[in-house]
Amino acid sequence: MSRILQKKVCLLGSFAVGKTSLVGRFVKGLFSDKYLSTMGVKIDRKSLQLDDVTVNMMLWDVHGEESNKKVPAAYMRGSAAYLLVIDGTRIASVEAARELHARMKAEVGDVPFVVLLNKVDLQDEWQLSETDMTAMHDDGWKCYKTSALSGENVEEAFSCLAHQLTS
Amino acid sequence: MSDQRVKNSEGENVPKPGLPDPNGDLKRLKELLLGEETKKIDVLQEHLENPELHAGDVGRVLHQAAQLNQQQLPGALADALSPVVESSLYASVRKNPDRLGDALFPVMMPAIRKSIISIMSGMVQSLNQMLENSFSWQGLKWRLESIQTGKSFAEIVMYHTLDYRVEQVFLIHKEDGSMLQHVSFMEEDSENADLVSSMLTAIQDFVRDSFQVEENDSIEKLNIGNMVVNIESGSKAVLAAVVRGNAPTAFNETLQLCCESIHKQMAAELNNFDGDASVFNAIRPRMESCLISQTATPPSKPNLKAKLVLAALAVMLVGWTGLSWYQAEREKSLIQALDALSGVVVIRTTHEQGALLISGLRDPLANNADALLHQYGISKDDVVFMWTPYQSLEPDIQVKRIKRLLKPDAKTQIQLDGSTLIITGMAHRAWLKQANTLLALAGISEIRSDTLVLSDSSDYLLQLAAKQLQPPETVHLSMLGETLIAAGKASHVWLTKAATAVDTIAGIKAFDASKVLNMQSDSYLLSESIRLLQPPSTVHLNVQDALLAATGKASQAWIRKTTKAAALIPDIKAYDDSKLVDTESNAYLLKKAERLLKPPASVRLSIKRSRLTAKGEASSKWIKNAHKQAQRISGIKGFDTRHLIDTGSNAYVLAKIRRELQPPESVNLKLQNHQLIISGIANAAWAKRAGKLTLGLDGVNSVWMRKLVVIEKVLAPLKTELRNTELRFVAHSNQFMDGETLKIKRLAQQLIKQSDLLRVTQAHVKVTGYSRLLGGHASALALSRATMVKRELVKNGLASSQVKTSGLKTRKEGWAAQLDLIWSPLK
Repeated sequence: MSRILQKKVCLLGSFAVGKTSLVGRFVKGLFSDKYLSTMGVKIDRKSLQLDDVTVNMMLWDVHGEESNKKVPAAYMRGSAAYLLVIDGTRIASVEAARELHARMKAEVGDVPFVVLLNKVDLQDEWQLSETDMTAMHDDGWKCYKTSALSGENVEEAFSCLAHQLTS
Repeated sequence: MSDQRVKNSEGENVPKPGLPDPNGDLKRLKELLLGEETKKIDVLQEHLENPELHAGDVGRVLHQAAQLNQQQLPGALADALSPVVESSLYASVRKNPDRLGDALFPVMMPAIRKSIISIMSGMVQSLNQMLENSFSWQGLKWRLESIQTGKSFAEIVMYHTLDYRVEQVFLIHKEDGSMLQHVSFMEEDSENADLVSSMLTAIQDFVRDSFQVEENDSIEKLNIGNMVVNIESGSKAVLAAVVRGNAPTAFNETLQLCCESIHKQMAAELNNFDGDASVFNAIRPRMESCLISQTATPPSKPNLKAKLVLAALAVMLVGWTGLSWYQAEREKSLIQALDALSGVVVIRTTHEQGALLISGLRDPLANNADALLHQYGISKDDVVFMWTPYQSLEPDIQVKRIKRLLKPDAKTQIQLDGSTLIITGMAHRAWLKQANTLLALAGISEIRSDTLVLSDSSDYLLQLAAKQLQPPETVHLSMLGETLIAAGKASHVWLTKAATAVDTIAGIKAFDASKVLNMQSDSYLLSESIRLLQPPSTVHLNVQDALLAATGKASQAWIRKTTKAAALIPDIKAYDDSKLVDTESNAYLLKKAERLLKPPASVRLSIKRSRLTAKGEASSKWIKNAHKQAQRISGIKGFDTRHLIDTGSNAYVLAKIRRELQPPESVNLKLQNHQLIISGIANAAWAKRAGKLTLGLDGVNSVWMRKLVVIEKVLAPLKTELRNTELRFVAHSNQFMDGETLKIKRLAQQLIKQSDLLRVTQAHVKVTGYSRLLGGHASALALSRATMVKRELVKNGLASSQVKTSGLKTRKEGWAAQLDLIWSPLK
């Protein structure tokens, strides 16, 4: 008999790294180059069928972390998994992701997560060096180079997380 | 006795060994007498001294002891235990607050609920008072209803506010916002229930974060228009109900009870929730019980009979008033109509004995009022007229009076304009004369009879015709004998009507309209079109069946202007300019350019934005002429020949010659003043062919080939000389005989002179060495001799690659090396 699981999945990252665009690409298969800052949180659902389990990922697209606007702990609580989104063209977004990772760990413990290095389509402006990537890899971070514009690796990253949620 | 006892190792006094022990006897006696009791005492002792056994004993009687204590010393045990219980609870809460919270939740919620209910009932009471004191329309209406139905006012208010439906109920996990269960009135609501659940949780989080309230404070109610979301928070889950309308306070209680019972029933599932909500299907019926609705029923209608009577009375009142008003209006209209009647003046109206009494003045010639009574539906019996006769000066009464006096013919019409009488139509001269006399007596100051046709006058027929035919101003009528002649111009319609009308006039036997130009005829329309459109001489206009067509050539401006103007010409039904050539159109201009420029087949002409472009190949003469001709064409603003190749140019001619002659790379061609200069190196066959072909080439007047080196001419004599040369060696040796090296030097010098030629033709000297020896060394010696020759040639300036050697065995004597020149033909 097939089971249906609901899982809360948070998208975390600095502002304007492309969290909402990634959700838009993953859930609706669409991309818009307009930038609309997320206020509070926006929730979307994506169902994935993994063998005999249907995973309903409730994607909590939380507003971007800024120095004067921290992500409230209440949004993090109860997450079964999370995605850390880094803007590959903005090196500062790596530090923000590390801080959010630490806070998330303190709030919900060791739950599955993946790291999305977004905006890979902007190769000319790419700032992440091989050293940065190696450092993340050494920390045990599972990283995907993604593009919400082209859809590159988006499906793969979310699916990876869904697999971890059911295993 | 003490001497009979000693102390044992443990210090106890025991009887001395060998002596009879009086205690031992005693002991035995005791055992005999009290054996059973002693054992019981030992057991009791054991129970008192062993803590485990003792605790068991106390435990068995503790509740009874507590009961007895409560009866005997009420409060003593509670006093004694309170500090202990307090510190235990304190420690427990410090250690794990959730556990005590979970334990207390079922107890606390009913208690809180009760407290809220009591507060709410207090509020309802005050609301009641407020409503009682209010004087709003709604309040008064409800108060009336309260009196009618005999219910309390508060009850009525509640009754009206109870109109609601619980449409959806969500059970949401408090921590991660997952939807645990959802029930709804409508199936379609379920689709996004999980999103709604998450979003409700997010809103709670957002509000809590934004307004910095306590962790356990949360939104309890969301109002959205006519809809209310009631949110009931439990320790692990939240129950949210979507209500349309105003739910009663009791519904909150229902929701609380449901939330509590779910917490009790599903405590383990809520604690161990892993994302699989299927386990909560069990509580669906419980949640569905919250999907209640209530519709307000209208109160019963009291005093229906009274209301019916009142309604009937009202209808009668309205009917009577309406009828009276209608009658009054009818009489008013009648009086107004009477007053407006010519020759009637209403002075007074009254009602006497139910009849309408109308009195006033009336001219005997005035129309009878009976027709009016009939028109307004009033019976003759209901109206009494009291008229006083008088003579009216109103025009139509006066005309009536005059007509009675003059007795005019049916063909004569009489009208009164102020004090002037206008006589039209037809009459006899004698009648008119009599009329003038009579009218003067009747007080008519002026008579106008200028349009009156006198039937006994000389131009009577012409006047009559003009009257009947009503010709337009453009037509002039005249009489010739008994024929009516029309001249001028008129519409086709008038001509047709006129022909018919003439037939009705007795005395006119014929109608000649040949001098009338038919304004709808094609010829007239054509002349009008030419006058209005003013076409240029290149345009020919034609009209057929009122259809105007233009052919020929015209400017774009005229074509455009004419399209609008043609539509405005009267009686032209349509305008066709499809056969008109626009002298500024690309097609026209191109055609004209082709006619004037006469381009050869190798030239393509095109026009874009008034610019003529020529592509392909053409002679200089044609290009020059084409520029001149293009300037002459009006409408062409430029002539572009950038893509045109001038066939008279040197480059073109040269390219053509190259195609024709296909010279080898070593040949240079140059064209100077129509003279073709051929230089470089070529073989004899090509030189011969070139000589022949160049004579027939366009653009070439003469050919100069003196600088062309013909390979065969130079290399053939050299080859002969080499072949004729014999080089001799010392027998059995590769040493030259005397003077042979000088021969080689001379040959080398000759070859070097032609080094360019040798390079171009990839020529080489072939040296074959010979030897007369028999045996194994023969070939080696032959090759060695050839190599010696090569060495000598190279020494004298030839490139090593230009000499190739080989050796042959032979019996021949006298010379031992032979030379040859080999070259490859040019491509």
